[in-house]
Amino acid sequence: MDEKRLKQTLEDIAREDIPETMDLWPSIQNRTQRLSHLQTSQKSRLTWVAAVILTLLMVAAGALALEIITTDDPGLQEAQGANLIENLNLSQTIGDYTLSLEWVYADANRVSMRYTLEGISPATELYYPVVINSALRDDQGRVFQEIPVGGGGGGGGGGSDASTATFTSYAETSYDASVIEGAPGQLNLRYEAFVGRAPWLDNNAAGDGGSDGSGSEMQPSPAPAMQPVGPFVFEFAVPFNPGRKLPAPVTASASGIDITLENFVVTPSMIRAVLCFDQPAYDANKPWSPFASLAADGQPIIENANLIWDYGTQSPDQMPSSRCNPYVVSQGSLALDQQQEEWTFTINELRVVGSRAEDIARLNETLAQYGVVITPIPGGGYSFDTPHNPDGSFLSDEEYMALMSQIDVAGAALDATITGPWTFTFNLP
Amino acid sequence: MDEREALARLKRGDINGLETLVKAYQVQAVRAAYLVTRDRAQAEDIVQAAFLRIYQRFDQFDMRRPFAPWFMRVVVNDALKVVTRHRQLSLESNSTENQLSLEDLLPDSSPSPADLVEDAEMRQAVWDALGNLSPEQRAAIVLRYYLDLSEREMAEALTLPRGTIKWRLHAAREHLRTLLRPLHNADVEAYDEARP
Repeated sequence: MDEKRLKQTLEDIAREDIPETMDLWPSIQNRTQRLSHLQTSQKSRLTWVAAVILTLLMVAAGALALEIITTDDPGLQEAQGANLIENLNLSQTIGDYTLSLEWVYADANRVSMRYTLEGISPATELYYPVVINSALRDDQGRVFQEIPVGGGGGGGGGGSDASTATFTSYAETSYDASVIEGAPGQLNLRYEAFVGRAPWLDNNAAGDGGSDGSGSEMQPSPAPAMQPVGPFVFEFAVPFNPGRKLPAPVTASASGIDITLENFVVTPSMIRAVLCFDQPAYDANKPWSPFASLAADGQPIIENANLIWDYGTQSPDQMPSSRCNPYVVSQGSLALDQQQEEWTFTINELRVVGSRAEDIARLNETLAQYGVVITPIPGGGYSFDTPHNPDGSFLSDEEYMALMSQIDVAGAALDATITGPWTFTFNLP
Repeated sequence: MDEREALARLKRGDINGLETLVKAYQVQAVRAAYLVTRDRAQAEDIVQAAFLRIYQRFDQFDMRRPFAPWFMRVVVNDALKVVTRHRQLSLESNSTENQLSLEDLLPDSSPSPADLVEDAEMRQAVWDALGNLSPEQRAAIVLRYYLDLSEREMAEALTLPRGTIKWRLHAAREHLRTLLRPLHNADVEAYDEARP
């Protein structure tokens, strides 16, 4: 037996015992909903323990005058390591709710902060308090838009009596800082927010919410009206790191397409690029994705990575449709922001996954001879069930491999690639 | 929605992004976990928990890296942890000297024994042999030969030094060779007689 044979046998075993048609999603979906509930349940003894430990740690840290900043964001962790994050520890209480800003960080790519919301909620409530209608502005009147970079949140609760439950939740948010011009020494910011309600369960949940700990069964229903509590208003200043910016746009051409590197900003928390090009006509609903490599002074930083559109000041409800779009090149670049001289940023190719109606029709036509029916997935993509023999048995190995091969070939034919490279070489002041 | 969109949505906390990833990778993930745990229900639980953890802690995922290989490593590692909680381990091999290929270690006669047995019997023999490996050895085989990971990637997946990975793979392959030795026999009858 050779390695190829062993691999094939392992695949045969797995395929025989785990059918292609299995579906974990309904169960996972229910568990995500239960999880949200359990995280803030008054019965959460683990949270009690964690809260006590955290309190002890905070007391100890306070006694030692240490600054503890918690974040899972790799870019912010690097900024934290260089003591670039500003502790705020600002709190405001309105009614049953206390909102606290723990820390803030600002550079030319993003402004990031972490807040904690604490309060009391009726124990039988099916809804939990959240921060709503928040806005971050500066003293120039500029509004910062939230971007999907870093971030994260969580929460937990501890019981106080039979009718109420205390809770604590937190979130880290990042805002697009590209609206800031020049290199101000600091930003004077104003954060405004309200506290509202969000349901434990989605309205389309199947009623599998379990118990809330008080004996009443969770039932999905619209959130009851709640007058937003607030506004909570915080005004504070944060040092601004201007990073290093591309001095002027650079354009490269390949395959008859001009791509302009409109901006390229290296800061302690991330590297971000703005690329401008006319989207080649293909699928109006599917933007082309750049795959890029980056090197500084000959040292590779990323290699053929799919750049992630972070939508910047664009609408997060749409995929990139404008000519110029911002992309995250790398998160966490402290070591890169001061030293490197020559940068080489290469767009290796543009790719799009074909899922137009005519693509699906073509795929169905190709695979009909194998009894495979392609089902489009709303929003793009497709799925299919692997056919069985008429008696329900599995296809033979040869038939199955031939079928998979045909599906691979047919599916790959739907993807479109425009090959570059578009290479930008530049120095950052 | 393609994977890139799904990841971007998941980054924003949009559960629709998770759904796309579940639909795309659940089967391969459960199959990989199953090969380690040998228990379908347990494998499904492990994969569900892994997806839930991603939903909760997506920030730990470096979006520059391909999602699927990273996720499969997480799943196999989780499967290994679950199995080793319930099983007594027995790692016997002391030999780490020679790095031989599987082709060197497994029966490799001419004609191939694979030509002499039916596919179903081969599957059963390999399945039985895998069951006699330690969970660590089984995970090594799954990572290397089912998921096609390199030794470096395996070291990352199991958070072990590469030397340990080399040794574990070597031990697993040698153990497999011993277990599959009956396939050396020249005919199916001899192979059948040799089976317990």
